[in-house]
Amino acid sequence: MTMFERFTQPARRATREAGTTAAAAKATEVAPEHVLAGLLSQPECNAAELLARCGCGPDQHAEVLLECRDYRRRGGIGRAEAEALRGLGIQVDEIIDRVEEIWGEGALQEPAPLEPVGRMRRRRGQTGRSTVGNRMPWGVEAKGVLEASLRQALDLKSTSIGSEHLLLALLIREGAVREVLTGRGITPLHVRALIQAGDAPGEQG
Amino acid sequence: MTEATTLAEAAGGRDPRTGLRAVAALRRLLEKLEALQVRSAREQGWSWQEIGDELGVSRQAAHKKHGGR
Repeated sequence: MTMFERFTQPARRATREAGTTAAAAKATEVAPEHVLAGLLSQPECNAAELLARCGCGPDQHAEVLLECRDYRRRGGIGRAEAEALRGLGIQVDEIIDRVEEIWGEGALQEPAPLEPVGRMRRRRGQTGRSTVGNRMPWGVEAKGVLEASLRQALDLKSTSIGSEHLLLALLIREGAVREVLTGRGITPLHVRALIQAGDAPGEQG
Repeated sequence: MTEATTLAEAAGGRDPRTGLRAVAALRRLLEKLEALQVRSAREQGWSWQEIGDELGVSRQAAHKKHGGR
């Protein structure tokens, strides 16, 4: 059984939606926040239910995704850290604004956006990553999330990988999503406890 | 925003945890800015020697750090 076959229907739809979201955002590859967007696009799934129980209901979804985008745009600096730097007299957002003015939107973003940034052109002979049809390649981070979701499912003695395991994986792997969600008090421990308490009934396989 | 506010207060203060976090964030930002500037310099035909000179590191160090991209 391949890993993908273990995914529940909502988890499968979420991963497909992650690719669509990444393509719509003109990203070069699927990143963890696209996986989060995919999960949030499935309102009935365990992950969305768990997030709602943690105070992150549908009315918060857009804000959370925006925060993730800002985190990346700042080159991996969270809101709290930006505030901390402000305390030292360093205005991160001003720096980012200035840099983007010169180099184009997303200049400090990781992974770099698909379009050549600002005045910088790709070196000759260097081609972009192929995106055949609408099949978005999965980035290293996002692949790591998938692998971690399998481990989480096994760890919780689940035979299938549900949306709740993808959420746990997002919370465990370092990155924008983890930063933003834990910043809102949504920790892997808490979510795990909710799952173990039976708050994530089996999703359709 | 409470966490953020606390951090902001502490950053200028003496709480090591938040102070260190601010420094780590700044270092991350610095690395990104450096990579961006080096990329631009290379695009404009600068040699690793010239880049190293400006960064205050050797030609080899500059190339080792940024050459793979």
